[in-house]
Amino acid sequence: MLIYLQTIDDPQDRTRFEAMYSAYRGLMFHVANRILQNAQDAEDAVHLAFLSLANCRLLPEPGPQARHLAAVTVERKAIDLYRARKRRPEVGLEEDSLPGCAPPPSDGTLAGAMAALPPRYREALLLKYYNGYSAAEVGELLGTTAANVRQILARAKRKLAEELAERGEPV
Amino acid sequence: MNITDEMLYAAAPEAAERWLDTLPGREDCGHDFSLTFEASMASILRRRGRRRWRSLALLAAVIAALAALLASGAVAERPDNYRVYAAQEDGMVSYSARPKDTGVDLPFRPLTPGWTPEGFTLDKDRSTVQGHAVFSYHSREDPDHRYFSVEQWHGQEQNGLFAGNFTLEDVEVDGEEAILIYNPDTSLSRLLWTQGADVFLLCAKGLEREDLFQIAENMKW
Repeated sequence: MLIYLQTIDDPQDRTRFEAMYSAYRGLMFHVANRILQNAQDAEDAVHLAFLSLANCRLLPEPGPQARHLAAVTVERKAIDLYRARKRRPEVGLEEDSLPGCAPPPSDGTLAGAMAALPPRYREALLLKYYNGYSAAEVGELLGTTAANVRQILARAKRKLAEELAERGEPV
Repeated sequence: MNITDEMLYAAAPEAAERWLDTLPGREDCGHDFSLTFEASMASILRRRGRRRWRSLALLAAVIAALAALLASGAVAERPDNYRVYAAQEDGMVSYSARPKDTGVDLPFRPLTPGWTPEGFTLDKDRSTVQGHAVFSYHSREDPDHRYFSVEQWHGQEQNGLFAGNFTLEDVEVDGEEAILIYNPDTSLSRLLWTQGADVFLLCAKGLEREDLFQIAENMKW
């Protein structure tokens, strides 16, 4: 019966997961490949990202939030793979120096500063404040604990405050 | 300077948009995924689908399914005693293969291709035997990266789902019903058939049609 149910699945009733797979796998490969510079490793990262997304209970409908979720999830998997394969666990907050991780230029606004944060900070911050996930859910997506996510978020906020204070911009 | 949650919620959409703007558009993100990737994703998609259905109330699901099946005519197209079945809808191909109920507990005999097209060699690193399943991977050193893999499952029904624009064709392998699924854009093909208590899936890139059947009909113990 399960097989039949799968087969008759109406296109409009397709799961958001399947929709994300169909819509964003190319983008996810691109994000991973520009970090890993290797097609097979990039496919591995995409696969790992979908494994995380498959466990995610609150997937957005296709659109900017889903695109962001897909891109961020695979970016994290790609960076983790990069560390593992290059045996460079010391790659930490300098993640933005990795290939493909250069941040967009910041213009001194809070939004600009958030977008220009190092990947780990940006990912946690935007998954929480843009996608609306809890610390535990962000942790599942990024492969870490809720406690660690809360720590990352606190550091990210401190860094944002420092950045903006340096520029003398009102927040 | 204190950054509050409200400020972060307010700024987050623009921040996300700025970062997303650094990524290419969908049209610039084409990639011909490997069959290994497709196979692993089919497994995730299958699992995800099952989880979704398990979460429904059983009675409601059965009623809804029966109604939808009758309305769609899918039952009429798929015989009750099918061995292999595939359907395509909105760019997604779903397939199913069931080994024969032989009535006897046949021993598992892992089979591998006894014939390969010229130049193809077995990639041992990618080939595995796990329980009652075999995965053998053959590739060839050429610019087109042609390859094929054969998966064999013993006594297990197999279902899959993958994306792409494929053609479906009913064919035969050694007199058994089979389905050939082919994507002319990427030259990716899948040949699905059963043999006794075993289900086989041959996935290939860049192989001639005749080669697919030669491989399928020459599986050896």
